[in-house]
This record gives sequence, structure tokens and C-alpha cells, in this order.
Amino acid sequence: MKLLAPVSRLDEIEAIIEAGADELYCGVLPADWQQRYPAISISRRQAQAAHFKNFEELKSAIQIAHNLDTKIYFTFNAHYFILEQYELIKRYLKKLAKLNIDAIFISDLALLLYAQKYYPQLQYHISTGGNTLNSESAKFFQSLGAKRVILERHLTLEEIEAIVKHTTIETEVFIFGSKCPNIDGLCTFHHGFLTIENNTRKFGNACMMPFEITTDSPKRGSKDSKSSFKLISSQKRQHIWTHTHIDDRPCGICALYDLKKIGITSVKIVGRANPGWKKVKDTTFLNNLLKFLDKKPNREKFIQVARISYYLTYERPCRYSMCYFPEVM
Amino acid sequence: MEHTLYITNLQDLEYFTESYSRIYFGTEFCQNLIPHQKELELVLKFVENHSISFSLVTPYVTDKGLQKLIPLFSYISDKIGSSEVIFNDWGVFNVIKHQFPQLKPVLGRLLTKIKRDPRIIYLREKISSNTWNYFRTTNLNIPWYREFLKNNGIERIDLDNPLQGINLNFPDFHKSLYFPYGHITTTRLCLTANCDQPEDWDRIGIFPCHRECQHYTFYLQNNVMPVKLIRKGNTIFYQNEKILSDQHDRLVYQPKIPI
Repeated sequence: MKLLAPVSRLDEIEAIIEAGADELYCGVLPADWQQRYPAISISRRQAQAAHFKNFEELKSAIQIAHNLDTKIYFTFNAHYFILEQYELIKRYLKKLAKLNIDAIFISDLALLLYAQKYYPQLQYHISTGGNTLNSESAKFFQSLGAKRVILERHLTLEEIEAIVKHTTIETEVFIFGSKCPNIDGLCTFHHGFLTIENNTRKFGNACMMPFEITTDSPKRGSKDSKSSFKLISSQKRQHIWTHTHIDDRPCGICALYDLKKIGITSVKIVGRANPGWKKVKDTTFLNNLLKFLDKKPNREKFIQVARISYYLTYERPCRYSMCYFPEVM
Repeated sequence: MEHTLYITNLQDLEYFTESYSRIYFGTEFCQNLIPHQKELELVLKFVENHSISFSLVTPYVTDKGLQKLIPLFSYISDKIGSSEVIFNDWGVFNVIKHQFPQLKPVLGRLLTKIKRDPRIIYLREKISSNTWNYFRTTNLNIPWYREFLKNNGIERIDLDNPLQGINLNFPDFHKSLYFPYGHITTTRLCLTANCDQPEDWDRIGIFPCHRECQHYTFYLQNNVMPVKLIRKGNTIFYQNEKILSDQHDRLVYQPKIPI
């Protein structure tokens, strides 16, 4: 099982590979795209910190990674593109092919169809925005030339196992960082308004906003005595909800034992925009656990060590709301 | 214009009037709510009695969900042959394509990509025409994508009616518009499941469902949102009473929030 880590700066690549990353992924915010579509990133990350500055930097990143025998993938995974945008998209795909990028992450079926037709020599991974929740979806994307599917975050281990068991395509799962509260590819809130209106309150991520919650259910004292519980619990859960996206260290490490047994190809750390030191810390943390797994501990022992390591490394207890695989807790 | 009544359970047949010539029945958002075959049988009987058309609505699913759908596909294939199936998961489409070629696949609104964030309407004066155009357009304006859909037997596309409006300028497809509720986002980490168990307040995850969504609706308000958000079960909706498009040939009316 491989460890996939994010990179966004040239000076952090070597350290992240040394920390144990087997594969890397990254993005670029092209200047001509930003000029034309300032609120829409080609890879759903608007912050410059999440990207290499341009394709020249990407070229250097690929060289560094390849010199260290490490594959590097490119995120081109906006949920959809429209026809007018293909003037630029065609240029970028041409550049990526020339640079020998190892794979491209894609959510949009129209982009996959185009890229596969004109650049069949490249490899394509279906981003989590493509919504792979079952083995038939995986087969569908494989039939269109995809090499790997990045599985939806909200699947249980049992559901993941069913996909791997019934398919031959490579599979990837999220293991650490940014536990998006919604189904990625079916969420239509827009991230990226901040570049238009620098007002975090108004145009921040909607999933992280505080909301006043009301219900049309009967109030306390009415015949339905449980209604007040429902309202209170809804408010409390909504509050927790607003933190799951970036509250520190969402994690699924206890499931590494099972994921390896299931036959997952790669586990992914989220956080392209994180500072280099954090990327190295997260990669080291995950790599140490994978090394421990190589020593073939029993499941119970592995989970025990994983939980202690998490607490010691990040100084946080395990929490259901931050757990990718709460059924393991 | 074809008028369609979209219902998620049998009781909602009470909303049927003679103005409807089709019934959508099923769920788009949760595999726990996929109807039982018995319910499907009763709806099909109603459809037959009223000489109207029928479409089965299906959600995004895991492999278990697929196993719940397959017997329903078999049943409607046997019963009415070439019925429409609204799919919101490419895996469901793959099953239809390979195992039930007599069924007519319709691209569901969850797979019709367009932003539905209500705040987009605030941006009209702040963004370029390129960006505004993006927010009002789907990838269905791409010829090779439409060709792919056609080659796979998809002749109809279902769409939401976003607040910022939608450009449906592709006459080579039939188009259905949902009214008045639009979907914004959905999750499998349902905030409503087990919501009456105080000890489970912090347990947001995949926990046993007791169909609490059938009893309660929550409204989410923040003054940065131009409309109230509606959370029903695992999904957040908006309501839009205005139809800006005139390029659809089917109106899918939801008398209730479709959960």
C-alpha cells in the first residue's frame, strides 16, 4: 500500500519524499486562467499556497520527483468545465503531456473523454469528485480508460472492500486531513468566492459557516417530547459539522490495517495548502505507521499503537466527528 | 410541456391531479429510502389505472444499494418494459446499460453539474461575463459529451433550477426542470439519523437510521445566504419559485421536499 502526499513548493519535495511519500500530487493556478476565471480554480483550490506558481515550476517539480524515483500527479479536478474553457484546457493538457506527468486527477466526465481521446498515453485517476461509491462506478470509469479511482470519503470499510473485491482498477482512499462533511462530487456549494470579495464572513466555505437552526417540529412541552432533543442535537451537530472540514487532524489511521488487507493501492494525505513542515510531519507520521504495519502486528495491537501515536503526535484525543472510519473506533 | 408529479412515498399520491401525465417515484439521496417492491407495485397500479407514464428515481449507492435496485429494475422491465430510470450514479447507469438495456436511462440532476450555491446571485455585478456564464452553464454545452450520452442511449437530462438561472441551449436533448426545490449538497454522514439520542450528539458518522428524516425538517439561516437553506435528512435544499428557463419540455413538480 502506497502513501500519497501533497506538494506545492519545490523546496519541500525532497523532504516529503524522504519522510516516506511513495507518490505525490500537486496543482497549478495558471495565470491566464485566473485572469479569465478568477473565482474558479481548475483544481478546486483557490489559494496560491496550494499550487506551484506555473507550469515551469511544475516541470522542475517533476524532474525532482523523478530523480528520486517518485511519481507525481496533477489535479485537474474541478467538478465541471464548460466548452468556452477548452481553449485554455487544451493548452494545459498539451503541456502536461510534454512534461511527462505521471497521472492526472479528473472529476469531469467530459474532460476525461477529451483527454483520453487526445492523450491516451497519459494515465487518469478519477478524483473523489467523480463519486465512486460502488464497484459498478469503478468499472464504468475503467471502461473509459481510468487507471485508478479515488473513493468517496464517506464509505465504510465494508463498502470499500466490496468495491475492491469486484474490480481490477487501482483504488485510493483518504486517510488524513480535511474530512469534507459532504459528498464531494455532489456538493454544489462554491469554494473560491474569496478571490472576488475578500470578506470571509460572506464568502467563506458554506460548510464551515455557523447557521441559526430552526425546525417546524412541535416545541418542548408539546405531545412530541423528543422534538426539543432533536432541535438541540441538530444545533450541536451543525456546530460540530462546521469544524469537520478543517478542524485539526481528521484521521483514519486505525483503518490502515484493514485497508492494507483489503488491497487498497494507495492512501492519501490531504493538504496541498499546508505549510511544508506540516506536510513533512503528516507524511512521517503515516509512514511510521505503515512501517509498523510491515512488521505484521495483530489488528488490535496496531489500532492501539495508532491511537497512542495520534495522541502523542498531534496532542488530540480521537473524536467521532474527526474520524474517517468511525466503525473502527 | 409534460407535467410530472415527483413523490418519494405512497401517501403523496394524494397530490395527483389530472394535470399530471407522469409520476416520478423513488429517491435521489439515500439508499435507505429506496422503495420496497410492494410500494413500487402499488404505484405502478395507480399509473396503469390513470393511463399515465412512469419513471423510477434512483439515488447514489454503494454495492449494497445496487443490490436493492436490481430487483426493482427486473420488476419494472417485466411489468412495463421500456420504463425510464432516473440515475444519479454512474454505477447505476452501468447496471442499466449492461443488464437492463430495455430501460431508458435519464441523466439525474445530481449528475448534471452546475453550482447551486445561493450566494452566486450576489456576484452578478462583481464578476466578469466569463465567470457569470460559467455559473449559469453546465458541461452539457460540450458536443463530445452530449455525443457520449446519446451513444449510451441517454435522451433526456434532468436539471435543477438554480437561483442564478441556467442556460439550456442544447436542443438535441429532452430536458426536465425540477420545481420548486433544488439540491445544494448531500452527505452520507447524516445529521438527522439518531438525532434524538443526546448521547450521540458528537457521533457524526454512519449510524443506524430510523428514518428520522421522515418526521423532521430543519431550516438553516445565516444572513449571508439570500435564501433559507432547508435540511431534510442527509441533504440541503433551497426553494426557488421562479422559473427563468423556457427551454425545458418537462416540469417535475415536488409537492414536498423529496426525502
